[in-house]
Amino acid sequence: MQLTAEQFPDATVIKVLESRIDAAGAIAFKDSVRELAVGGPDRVVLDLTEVDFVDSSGLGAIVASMKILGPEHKLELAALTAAVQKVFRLTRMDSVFVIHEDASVAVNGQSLAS
Amino acid sequence: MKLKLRSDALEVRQALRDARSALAGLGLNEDDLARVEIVLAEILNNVVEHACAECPDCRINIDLERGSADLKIEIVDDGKAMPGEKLPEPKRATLHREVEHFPEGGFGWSLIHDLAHDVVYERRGRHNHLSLAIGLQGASGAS
Repeated sequence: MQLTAEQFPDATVIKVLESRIDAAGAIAFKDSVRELAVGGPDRVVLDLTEVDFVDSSGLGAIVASMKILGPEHKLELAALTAAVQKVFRLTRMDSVFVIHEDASVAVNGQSLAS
Repeated sequence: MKLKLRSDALEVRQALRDARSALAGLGLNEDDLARVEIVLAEILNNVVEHACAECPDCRINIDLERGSADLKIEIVDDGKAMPGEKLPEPKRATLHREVEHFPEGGFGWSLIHDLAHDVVYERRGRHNHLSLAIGLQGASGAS
């Protein structure tokens, strides 16, 4: 599972460089998010630009990541593609996460390395 | 169209990819493809994680048939029966305010029922048969 982390003063932006977060990758995803976020700023923004498919296992892994990060971190999401948005909406998980249009909005326009 | 796979998460991924490209070739639009992919993924993940959890060599057969308004899907596996030989009741996840109580699972069947209709499960001999249909919005190229 390929993810990159970029540090901002008030947030870590974790970009998922995979097209899917699914049953085959859910555990690796959870572990990678934890490794990249622990010890960093309170806010963690998960940039899902590249992700075009999340199944219920992937959704569960995102929720589990939020729990693993614990009360000292806040997990937010950015740049949900159409199919991913659909899954979040149907499961009503869109109401439990702060969702940003894109990651640069989430860090107040500070530039992101692309 | 027919697809065959072993009960394995990576084979599921490949089957979803194959189904998507075949259905795109039949003129399904992106929204239809997204709905079909999520339903197929949830069904196949259930088979791999539950029915066939103890037999990685279990076989799964998928039959997809495009009608004018629906895509009909039949999935047969030789794993163990659903508990009580019937479909599980879809649990609607209750959302709590506290992060530690957020559900991490139980989304699968509710997604299937949200996106598909005529969901029928039967245990026939040593096989599970699940059939369902997904309404298609992209009507172009209907056969």
